[in-house]
Formats: sequence, C-alpha cells, structure tokens
Amino acid sequence: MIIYNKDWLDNLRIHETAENWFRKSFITPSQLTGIKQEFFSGYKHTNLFVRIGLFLFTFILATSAIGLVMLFMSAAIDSFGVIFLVFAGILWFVLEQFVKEKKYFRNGIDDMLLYISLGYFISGISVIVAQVTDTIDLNGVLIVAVIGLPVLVFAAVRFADAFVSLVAYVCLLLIIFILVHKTGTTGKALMPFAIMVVSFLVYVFVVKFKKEAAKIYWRHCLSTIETASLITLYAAGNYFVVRESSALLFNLSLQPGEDIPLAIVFYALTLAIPVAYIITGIRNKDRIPLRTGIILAALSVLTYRYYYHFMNAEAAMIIAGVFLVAVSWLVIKKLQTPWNEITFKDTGEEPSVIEAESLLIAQTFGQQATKKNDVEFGGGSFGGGGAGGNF
Amino acid sequence: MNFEEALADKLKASGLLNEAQAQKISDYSNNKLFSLNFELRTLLYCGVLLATTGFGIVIYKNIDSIGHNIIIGIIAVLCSGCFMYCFRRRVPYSNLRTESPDAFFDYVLLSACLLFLALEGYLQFQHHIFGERYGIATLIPAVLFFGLAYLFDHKGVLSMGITALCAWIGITVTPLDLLSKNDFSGERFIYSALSVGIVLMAAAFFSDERNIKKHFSFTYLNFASNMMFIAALSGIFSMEWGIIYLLLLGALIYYYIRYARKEKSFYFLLISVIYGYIGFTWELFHLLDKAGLDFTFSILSFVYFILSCMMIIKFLKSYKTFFKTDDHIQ
Repeated sequence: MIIYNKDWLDNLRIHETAENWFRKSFITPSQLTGIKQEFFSGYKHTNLFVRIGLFLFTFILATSAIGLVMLFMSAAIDSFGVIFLVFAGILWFVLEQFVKEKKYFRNGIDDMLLYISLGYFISGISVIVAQVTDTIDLNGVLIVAVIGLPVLVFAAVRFADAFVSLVAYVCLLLIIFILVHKTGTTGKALMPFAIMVVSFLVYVFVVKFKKEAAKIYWRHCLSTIETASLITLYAAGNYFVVRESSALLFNLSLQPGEDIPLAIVFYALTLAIPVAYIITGIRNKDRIPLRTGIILAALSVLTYRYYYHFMNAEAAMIIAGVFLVAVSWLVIKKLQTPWNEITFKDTGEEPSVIEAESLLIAQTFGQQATKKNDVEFGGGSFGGGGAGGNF
Repeated sequence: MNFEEALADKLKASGLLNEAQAQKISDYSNNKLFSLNFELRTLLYCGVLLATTGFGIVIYKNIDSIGHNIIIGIIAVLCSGCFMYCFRRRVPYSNLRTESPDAFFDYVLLSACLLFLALEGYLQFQHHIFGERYGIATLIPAVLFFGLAYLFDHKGVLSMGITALCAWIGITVTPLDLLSKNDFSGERFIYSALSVGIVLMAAAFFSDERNIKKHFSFTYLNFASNMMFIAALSGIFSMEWGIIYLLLLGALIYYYIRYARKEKSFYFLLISVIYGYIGFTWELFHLLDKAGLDFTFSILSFVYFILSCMMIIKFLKSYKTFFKTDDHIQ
C-alpha cells in the first residue's frame, strides 16, 4: 500500500532515535555514524526552510506549466473537467516516479505535487458533476465527496500524508452531514449526535490503530485525525455551535425566551467534554487530548460568557488570569518533584518554550544547536564553548 | 519491551553499543517522565496576559474615581517590584548564554518591561514630562531594554529594545504588523528602514566577532534582513530609480547568502531566494512592459516562470552540497 520502502522508513526511525541518544550523550559521534551506516536509509529529512522553499517554487512551476497548456486549450472550455483530470493524472504519475526513482521523501516537491494533483482531481470531478446535473446543490456536493473520499484515503495511505488524512476526514464528515440532513426533520434534530458518534468512533479506531506496531508509518496521519476527531466531537456538542448552526443551516428561528431543544444537554456537554479530554490526557499521558482539552476549555468559557453576562469583561479577565496564574504556579511548585511520572522539568522530549522561541534558529542551523543544560545526565559534553549559543 | 530498549539490545548484540550504554538507554526509556513544562508555562503566560489586560481596562474605566497619581503610583510600585525581583534573582552577567534562575524569571522581567512602557506612556499622557521631545521618550526605553536584555540574557526584551530603536529612528516595527502598519511607498520609510538595518547588522557582526552574546545575532539579523529586503523591494516597486534598488537587493542577497553559507542558516537562504525572486521578476516584467512588449500573461511569461522555478528548485535541492553539511550531525 505505502509507496515508500518500509525498511528505509524503519531505518530512518532508528536514525532519529540514535540522534536523540547522541543529543543526550549516551553515544559518541562515531557510534552515531556507525549506526547510520549499519541501518542504511535512502531517505533523508529535508530542512524545514528548504522544504518550504521547494514547496512554494514547485507550486509556481506546476501552475505555470498548467497555465501554459491552458493558453492553448482555451477553446475547449466545455471539456475543462476532463482536462483537469488529465492534469491530476499526469502530476500523480510524475510524483510516483519522483518517489520511486529519485527517492524523494517529503522534500516539499512531492508534498506539493500530491496536493496539486488531488486539487485538480477534486476540481475536475466537481466540474463534470456540475455539467452533468446542470445545477450546483447538495446532491452534487455529495456525489463529489463520495467519489473523492476513496481517492483521498488512498492518497493518504499511499503517501502517509497528514494533511491529506485531515482532508479525507473532513470529507467523511461532510458525507455524513449531507446524508443525515437528507432524512428530514428527525435527522436535523439528531445531527449533533450523529456527528458526535462518528467522531467518537473515528477517535476510538485511530487510538487503537496507533497502538499497532504495523501502523507506525502512519503515526502522523493518525495523530492528525485524532486531534481533528476530538475537535469535531466537541464542536458537535457545543451549545454555541448547535444553536448558531441550527439558526444558520436549518432556519431555526428562536423567539426571545425560547431555547433550542435539549439545551441543558448541550450546556452540560460544553462543560464536560474539555474536562474529560484533560483528564484522559493526564491519565494516559497523551499530549493530544490534553492540549486539545486545554484549548477547548477556553472556548467553553467563551461559550458560557456569550449567553450569560454574569460579570463584565475586565473582571472576568482578571479572575481568569489570576486563576490561571495561581493554578499553574501551584502545579509547577507541586511538580518540582515528579508526581505519577509527571514532571515540570523540561525533559527535552518536547521542544521547550525557550526552544520554541528559537525554533526558527534551531531549524535554521540544522541540528548543530546542542542543549547546554542536559539536566538529567550530568551535562552534555557537546554543549561546551559557546554552549548552544552557536547561532 | 519498548522500541528504544529493543533497538538498544539489537545494537548491543551487533557490537555497536557496549553493555553500559545499552543499560543506560534502557533505563532512560523505561523511566521517561511526562513533562508538562510547555503546557504549564503557556498557561502561566496566558494568565499573566489576561490579568494584566483586565487590570489595564479597570484602570482605564475608573480613571475618574481613582485619580491619576494613584494609578501612576500603583504601576510604579508593580514595575519596581518586578524589577527588584529580577535584580535579586539574577545570575551573574556573562558574555555567553546564561540560563534563567527559575521558571518565573522570564515572565517577571517581561512584565516589568511592559509595565515600564505603560508607566512612561502614562506619565507622558498625563504630565507631559517629555513635552514635545518624543525622541527622548522613545530613546529611553530603547536604551533601557538593550541594557536589560544583555544583563538578564532575554531575547524577548531584546526584540522590544529593537522595536523601540526603530520607533526612535522613525518607524514602528514589530514582526507581525510589519506589513500592515507601515506605508511602504514613502522615501522616509526606505531610508529609516535601511539605516536601522545597517545598525542592526553591525550589532550582529559585533556580537559574532567579539563573542558577546552570540545567540543575539540571529535576532538582530532577523529584524535587519527583513526590513532591508522590504525596503529594497518597496524601492523597486515605487521609486523612480528602481534599478538602484535592484542593485541594493542584489547586494543584500549576496551578503545574506554568504552569511547563510557561513553559518549554515537555511532561514536566511530561503528569505534571500524569495525576496530576490520577487524583486527580479517584478523588475523584469516592469521593464518589458515599459519597452512596449505585451509580456504579462503571454506564452513567454509562463516559460519564464517555468524555467526560473526549475533553476531555483535545482539550487535549493543542492543545499547540502552548498552548505557542505556534516553528515553525522545532519
């Protein structure tokens, strides 16, 4: 299924692990080189900035090439749909050749070719569907989504691309939405629950997949969908979203004093879901539900404030601010000694704030920047002389 | 058995790791702690931001009932409190990078600087302490922030100092609204941006050469390069002698690509290529249009884009040989 050589991907992961050991001074530079020679990989990571540059210029190149062809094709305006599909096919073919023959591995060129190819595919299908049905309505969107979904899933699996996975997930939700919408009044009333159930099922499957060793190549795809499913699960049960989308999409008009059906349920969900995420995150030591939960908790506070002005904005800000400072201060103090294998100390597994601030630089200068204070293991010998200040 | 442990075992068997190293690695992978460092720091930062903003609004709304001098007094007390904390907890100055003494230090220093700006603004607004001499009003924070940035080794305060310096020289520059606030067509903008840029480039050069807070040089050059490139581009777009600015752009590209190569900085490589491509392409189309050729959207223009992009892609793809990067670190 996957286009990449799995052994090389495995070896690339070994390289990353060994680089981490090297940063933590477990192994010597010559050992790192030895490991990299022993476990050869034809794939190389491209520097982020080079990747961005290649991404941009591939976009200009591909669109100019297509623009040039379109200059000669302008008479064939009726068959644009087919022309788009042909472009999509050519780009896909070029992409496959690059990956198979030239061993391109996420260097910006292949990313962009994949996105443009899929973009032209979806556009081509849309044009053809619009021409055949002669209208643009929900049914047309449904047909495009149903044709597009398998292709998106195939592309996401074949190239293990996180962004395409996200688009495929959104496409799936779109199909569910339109199908439920078509069932009429009952369907509309049940819409939030339908979306929540689908999100939850996707989340459960994704988490299960993530634990399987064979799915390791798709870990970035799975994490992306995990985050997305947590967000859609929350959004579908959020009081604000339900109320406003009922008004906007289903023409539900509320008189003053009226409320949406089951309002209490949605208020409760708005409150409970972020809390559940944070607890899950802490318990499973999983950053995805934890961070999603923290951000969504802020949105829940805003949701409540939108409908209940229990105090003015500045008082709420001061209280929330003092509360946040107090809580984080207390937790920081408490976690000075690890609790339940949770610590405040920067373990270097995740980029720290100082690093995040200078992430730009760290990436800029390759992996040269070795951290000076290797707290856990008595000082890395690589940080000396200018000490990580070598940018 | 987790992945790292299994790998360490395998490497030990094939002789790539010795017994002690494999043991150390398996200990490490089994005792990994879950760090909430980033999350808690972010929450703390948001809390400080929310509380101070709310506080500011309360002051603003109750200005009639509290009285100006009391408010000024409160801000002054808070500000000096924060500064006192910083001076008490400070680590001795060093030309090298120093670590913050504790988790809260950086935030307290940042709050102190923000409060100082508020205090100064308030004093000027209420008592006109600087009168019409806005130059001094902007120079004081600039000097203060530069001093504090070096004393406490704080890049955020350094950025604030650079912004104050820019304000002093005559433009307001912050990274995000660089493009939205300034009027890029004016001659005044171009000259002030170029002069700030030269000053900052000199500062970066000095940091590197004398080995004084070398890690600040990226911050200096990041501001300097973007400002000077944008100034050169706006010269090309809007000034009569666009060709002079094209030469300036060329000089900047030469300088920054050389710097990028020397320091192995992919960031400066990328921005040089992008700014350069925009400037050159614009000037080419402009000249051909002026010469009366119907170039834009012609077949030739597409061919130009295709060929030029191919060349740039080829150049960027060869970055490893260009930088001669050391493979084992890469």
